Amino acid sequence: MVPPIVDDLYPDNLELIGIHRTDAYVTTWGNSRMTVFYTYEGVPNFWTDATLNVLGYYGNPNTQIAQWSAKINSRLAVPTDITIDVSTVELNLPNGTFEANVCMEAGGTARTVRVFMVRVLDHYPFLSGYDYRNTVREGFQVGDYPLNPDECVPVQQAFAFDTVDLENAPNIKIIAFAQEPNDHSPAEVYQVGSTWPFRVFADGFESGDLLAWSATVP
Amino acid sequence: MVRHRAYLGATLLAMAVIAAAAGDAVAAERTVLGEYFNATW
Repeated sequence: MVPPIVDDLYPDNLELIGIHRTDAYVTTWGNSRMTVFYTYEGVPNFWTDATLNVLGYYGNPNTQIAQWSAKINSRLAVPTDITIDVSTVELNLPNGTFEANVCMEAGGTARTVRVFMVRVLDHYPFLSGYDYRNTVREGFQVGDYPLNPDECVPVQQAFAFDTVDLENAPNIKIIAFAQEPNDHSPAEVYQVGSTWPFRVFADGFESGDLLAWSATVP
Repeated sequence: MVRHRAYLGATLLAMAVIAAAAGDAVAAERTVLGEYFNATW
């Protein structure tokens, strides 16, 4: 039920991340997110904006999509005063640094937001019979940042890509989200931003070093 | 008269720009975060 949710129903206003549990694709951040933040172990479990969830599988994809959509639609109806733009600061492969510019609109309410940044790989792991979407490969709780109306804070995070990521670079996505600074759920997610499409160029093109760049690459 | 019309046009344009800028203060468009906890069984 995941592909239609991502590709057809909410292509522009949902960032879905897949967090694996108890298999070969777990991450330190993903484990902490479930056991420390949500303090719950069951899968499958779908959380929207860290406030509403659908636990379990209803046995029918259409029913499952309807369950998820109800939560997503509910959250889409809630106004927000936060915006996030994610950009590439430097790519020195296999490492990369990315920036989330987290802003509060002029009419917003001053408060502290907790910023997370994760990198995902879409259509991974490569297992037959199921299309795993936006699987988390690495994640960070970057920090807490006080925000005032009409103000932005640039938040940077370094990531380390591995061979699987780089061989499937078009499917990499860097996702940042700003959340209420609670250590445990519920903690409302105010906004999400991402890099898309993600491109890895050759010869230092994205780092700004054009000396070695030629017309033949990328 | 032509000069007065030009001033009036410039004033109306400035007012339109100010109104458009004021309109930017509306709530931002939300993107929802979906966290799907799952496993490869």
